[in-house]
Amino acid sequence: MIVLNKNKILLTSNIVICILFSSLAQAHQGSSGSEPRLVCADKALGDACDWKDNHNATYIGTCRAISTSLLCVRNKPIVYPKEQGHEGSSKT
Amino acid sequence: MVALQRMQICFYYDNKGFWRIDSWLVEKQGKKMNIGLPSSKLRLSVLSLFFVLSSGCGESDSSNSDNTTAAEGLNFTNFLPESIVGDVAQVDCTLTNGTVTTCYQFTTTGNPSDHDVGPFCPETIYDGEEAGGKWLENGSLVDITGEYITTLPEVYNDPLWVLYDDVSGDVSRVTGENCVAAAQLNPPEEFWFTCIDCSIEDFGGVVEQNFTIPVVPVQRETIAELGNDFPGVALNGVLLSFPADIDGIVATYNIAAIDDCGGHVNNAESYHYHGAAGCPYEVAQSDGHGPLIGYIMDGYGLHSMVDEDDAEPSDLDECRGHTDDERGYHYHATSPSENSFIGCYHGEVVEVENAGRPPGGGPPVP
Repeated sequence: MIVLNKNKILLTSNIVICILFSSLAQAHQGSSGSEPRLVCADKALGDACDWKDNHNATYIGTCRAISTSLLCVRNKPIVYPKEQGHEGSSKT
Repeated sequence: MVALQRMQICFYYDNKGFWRIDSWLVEKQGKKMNIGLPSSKLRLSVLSLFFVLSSGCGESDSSNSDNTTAAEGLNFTNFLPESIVGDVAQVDCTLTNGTVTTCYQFTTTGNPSDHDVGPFCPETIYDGEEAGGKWLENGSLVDITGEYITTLPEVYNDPLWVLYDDVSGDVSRVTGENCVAAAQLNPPEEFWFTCIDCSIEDFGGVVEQNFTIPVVPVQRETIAELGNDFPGVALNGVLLSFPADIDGIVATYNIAAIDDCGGHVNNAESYHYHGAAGCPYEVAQSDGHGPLIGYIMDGYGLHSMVDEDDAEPSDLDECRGHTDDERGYHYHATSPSENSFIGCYHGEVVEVENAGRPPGGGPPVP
């Protein structure tokens, strides 16, 4: 009985540990800080793309081959949230 | 002198009794401009010839309908004089489309003479923003303060991101002799969980950078992707680098901090920029257009993101370039938080055997 319970505890502990490390790995992969690259991960060269930064500003461009993968390179003016009252603007 | 060379004019007397004029650069690109005036009328026609050349130089019966304007192309008077090492040479070079043309070949110091390098990492978790540089987090540029270091577990949603001693408050930094091994992708594990805080001196001093750029930019038929290329050079001689591999850097729990001017140091490229942060030397434009901040490897100018009214152009192509009457075709840099400068090449660049290596040589860049 004791042996059975011990094994059960060990098995349970291993499962918990495995789940814990799995969660850590996924969390790390999900926060790489590379938004311009992430938005082109499932797109093709030249595809339109856009992403938002931590301040909710929008970056609009196309997926370009830079370094080893595709990167969303903006070619339109940054679109700032209206409530921020940013002074930047665009012109032709 | 450079400008005069671009307008160098050669005369020759053909067997039909006519003086003919060739622009040297025009000839190199397969273009011809024939005046066809009898020699006895040459003196009278000098004035009219001047106007023909000044208005028509570069415009000929070539099939290239997109002409290079006199404003396009590298002008060394725009560089900080102390950034150029030695003389600038003009050499024959082959472009990526196979065209043989003439290129400027020059060397820069690689060390900015117009601003300090660093700081990069705060020494303790109690230091303010003046003690550190910046970091690229989720597409935003953030100040690396001591407090920011303590928030990294939340930033990356990973409790392992502890880059400081919780007793002393000292930030885990790589400095000095450890820089050679640590300031690269996939460093030895002993250098994981650190903020890279390396100076130019930590790598043995400045590394001069060599550049070969077409004298006259040649527009491509179709755009070319940058790939692993170093896109250009700043007017203070500092190398413009391709985007930092943020994913690779954080995979080993490192912060490869950049300074407030958008640059940092590694073994391969020495000090280099990852974005146009607005502090390096620039050449103002008389019409309020964004100042010139560097040149791309195809010879077209690179200007700042915004003009004097803080406005961005809205007509940029996918390479982040456009054309105006004053400057011809030129690029505009992205913001420093975007980890890039331009999107692609509008013009031809020099064919390089060892693509991906830094202009000054050295080992291939990971």
